[in-house]
Amino acid sequence: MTNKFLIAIPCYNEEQNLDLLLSELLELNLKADILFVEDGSIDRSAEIINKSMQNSVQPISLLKHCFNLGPGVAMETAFKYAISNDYDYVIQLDSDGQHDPRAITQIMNVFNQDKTIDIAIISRFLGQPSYKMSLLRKIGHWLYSTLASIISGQKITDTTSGFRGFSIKSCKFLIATGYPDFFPDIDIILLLHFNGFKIKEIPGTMRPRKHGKSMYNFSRVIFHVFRSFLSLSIIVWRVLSKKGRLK
Amino acid sequence: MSTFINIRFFAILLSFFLLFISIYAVAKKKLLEEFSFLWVFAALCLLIFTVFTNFLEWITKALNVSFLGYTLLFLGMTFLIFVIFHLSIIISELKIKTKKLAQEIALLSKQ
Repeated sequence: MTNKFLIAIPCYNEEQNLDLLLSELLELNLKADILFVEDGSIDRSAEIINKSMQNSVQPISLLKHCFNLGPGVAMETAFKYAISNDYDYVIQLDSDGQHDPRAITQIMNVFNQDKTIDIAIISRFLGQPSYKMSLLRKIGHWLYSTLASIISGQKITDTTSGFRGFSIKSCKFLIATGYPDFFPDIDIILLLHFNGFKIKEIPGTMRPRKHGKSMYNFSRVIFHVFRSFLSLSIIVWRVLSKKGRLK
Repeated sequence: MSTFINIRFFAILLSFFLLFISIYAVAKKKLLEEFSFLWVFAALCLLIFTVFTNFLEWITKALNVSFLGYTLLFLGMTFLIFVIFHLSIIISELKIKTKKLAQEIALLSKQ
């Protein structure tokens, strides 16, 4: 029985990147449905997606939030859509064009070949990484991946990759436990690990952003670090108090 | 002096309690992480000011206040004023969003 895949793309003010992303995606002719979750954009993002829906052979759906709720909420909406429409796997892709859509087939292959895998993450730091970043970001990523690896006992190299696939079982779990509104990263990976979900990393790359600005400004980075360590502490405390699995 | 030591002791207790209750409320999903940031920051500031009184002494001199405890009280009240203002902004945003949601539901139910 073939698996039913949904490519979920949260989107906020990405009118400058959407045309290229859509053409790359549609060229691949993947055996997957595409869902855009437009998160209250104030630019022409919804208009561009609507236009491609009319012209495309591949099924493209659009869900619109009536105001901005954050990337975590957008993914949660995508999970709920996938569950109610009986998808088997959800593949998250960023709408800023930094993720090469050709790597989607790698994620799909992982799930098709091994049904025990629940989360497949495209890691920028596995194999021979070519991803360039500032020293501060390198230190941050190293710290996160080291912490995640030590706490989980499994080597995890990329805790903040937004290019990942989820089994529908893990989607249901994340909705039940509460998916973070912003920056669901290291804590989500550890939460899933400690609840028996199997995680696999796949080597991949990330392209530089062509247009627009990253959502990561200074205050958001500070909050991201704070939130990650707070969530981590809570998860570690729960694991230690229940001696292993959280359930 | 003994009064200040008593206040100092209770301030340290309060900061630890505030830290614990903030993290506990997040763990129990009663408090969102974005709001816990403020309270964790406040707890840490209270702890730092209470343990390392040099900062507090400097501020007390700058404000021309006679007693360190009054400075702590003043800083606490200032913090609360900012918190209340911040919450007013959040409530305003929520009111706007609720209105928008209600209108969307009304329009959708008509279709």
